[in-house]
Amino acid sequence: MLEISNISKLYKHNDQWSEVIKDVTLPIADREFIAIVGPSGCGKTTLLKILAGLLEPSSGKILLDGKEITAPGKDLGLVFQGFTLFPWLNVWENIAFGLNIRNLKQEEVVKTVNHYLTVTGLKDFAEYFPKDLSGGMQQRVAIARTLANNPKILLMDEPFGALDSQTRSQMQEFLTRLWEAEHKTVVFVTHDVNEAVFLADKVYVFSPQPTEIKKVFNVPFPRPRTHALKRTKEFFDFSNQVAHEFEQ
Amino acid sequence: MKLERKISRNKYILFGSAGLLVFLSVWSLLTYTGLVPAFFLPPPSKVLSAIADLLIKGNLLGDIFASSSRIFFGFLLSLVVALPIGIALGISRKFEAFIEPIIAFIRYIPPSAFIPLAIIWFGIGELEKVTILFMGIAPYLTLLIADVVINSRRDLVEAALTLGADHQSVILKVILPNCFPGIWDSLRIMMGAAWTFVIIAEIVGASAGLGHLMIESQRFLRTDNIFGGIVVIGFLGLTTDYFFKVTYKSLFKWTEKSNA
Ligand SMILES: Nc1ncnc2c1ncn2[C@@H]1O[C@H](COP(=O)(O)OP(=O)(O)OP(=O)(O)O)[C@@H](O)[C@H]1O
Ligand SMILES: [Mg+2]
Repeated sequence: MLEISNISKLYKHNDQWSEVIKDVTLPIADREFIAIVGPSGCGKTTLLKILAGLLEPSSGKILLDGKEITAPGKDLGLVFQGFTLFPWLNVWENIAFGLNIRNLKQEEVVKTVNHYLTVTGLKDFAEYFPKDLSGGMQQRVAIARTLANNPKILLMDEPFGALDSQTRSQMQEFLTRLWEAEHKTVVFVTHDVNEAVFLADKVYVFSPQPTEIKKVFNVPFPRPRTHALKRTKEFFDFSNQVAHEFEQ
Repeated sequence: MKLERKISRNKYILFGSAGLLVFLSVWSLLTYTGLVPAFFLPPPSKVLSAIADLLIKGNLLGDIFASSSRIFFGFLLSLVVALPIGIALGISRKFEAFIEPIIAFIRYIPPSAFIPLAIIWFGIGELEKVTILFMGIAPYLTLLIADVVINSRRDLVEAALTLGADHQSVILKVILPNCFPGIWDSLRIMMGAAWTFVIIAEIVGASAGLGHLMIESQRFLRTDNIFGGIVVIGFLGLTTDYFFKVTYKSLFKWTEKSNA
């Protein structure tokens, strides 16, 4: 259980304090897939960094299974919005980074890395340095790197934002399949309403700054979900409802 | 950032030789025409024959070896000290507050100011030369390395932390590899300075070395030998610089700069 309780965050900019996040409370059950949609600049990245233990909230608490999170660690894996691959490591070594840090057995590392290379379609690029990959490929490596590390909670900050629509669909389907198989707790940030509805059990719509939760939608569609769902009328209507709230 | 596209290797060599040719022509024009007396500025041929003479009859190789080995040891000692202090400066605010004023102070003292002291402490042997080199290189190198570390990418550190890295792994597996190319560049810059310091050190109380060669030549009014020495130093500097450039490319293939 991941509990976000009464989180606020103020940033200081030119000696002026501004409130980016205002009193957000959000319980996330184990194995729940939640999506957060909100306008650009509303504080989604800020909230995820607080969840990951990278930023300190101005007030409020994050509890993971009853314990307060005060520092980052492997339990809370974060796929960053920007490119954060280690440029001096090749694709293979990037994915193995977290595993090697924990001194896992080499056979296990090899097995895990190869598995995620395959599922993300990067098998042929294992030896490439990040600078020689396209933006979308880099993002896939970043996702593989976090997944391979097997975090308890998967935090994703607009992970598919840099991908073309085809790869994006593939990655979405890949993620639902993965979730249906492994049932991880996922907090998925996006500004694409369709993506949020397709992937999540619950969609939280955030308001512009200072961010508050505007509305929560429980997504009614059963799993397993495939892309055929996106073409149904029910999906269309539901997404519109969410989008309406989002755009208001 | 270069504003033009890559130029071919041949073109590069062409432009390089053109620059050199212009330089040589001006030099020849000034000297062979007698515009400047040979005593002040010897012509290129005279400088070349001076170098040849020094090689055969003199002790040029010995001098080169003496200066190079002083640089090597002075540099090595500086690196051993500057690397850990520079990294610590770059990652710890407390350490920075503690040590920064001292280094900033030492940095503004010209290394030549240490020569009298170094001679009193260590005599005029190798230890004195290496000390002067160390005093000249280490403070600068420390601050250069600290700067590289301070400017290393924060997002990569954050990524490592969320992958479960502790502080030690962040330093060893993220900050260090990320900073190596910058540190290599700092070494390259300081190598240039090292040549300055070694000549200064050898001008005062040395029995071998290129600085010693120059001050001896001055004593005997051998301008051609002085210029010979300058040319040799220039070439040695060029060689070390080239060494750093080539090793950069092969060591840091992952950087954008490596295929520039
Ligand atoms: N270190 C900081 N110092 C001051 N202000 C900051 C800092 N980081 C973020 N902000 C401000 O906080 C607000 C929210 O930023 P954040 O990156 O969380 O937005 P976001 O919702 O992720 O936006 P996007 O969808 O564009 O990624 C922005 O107005 C930004 O200017
Ligand atoms: Mg963001």
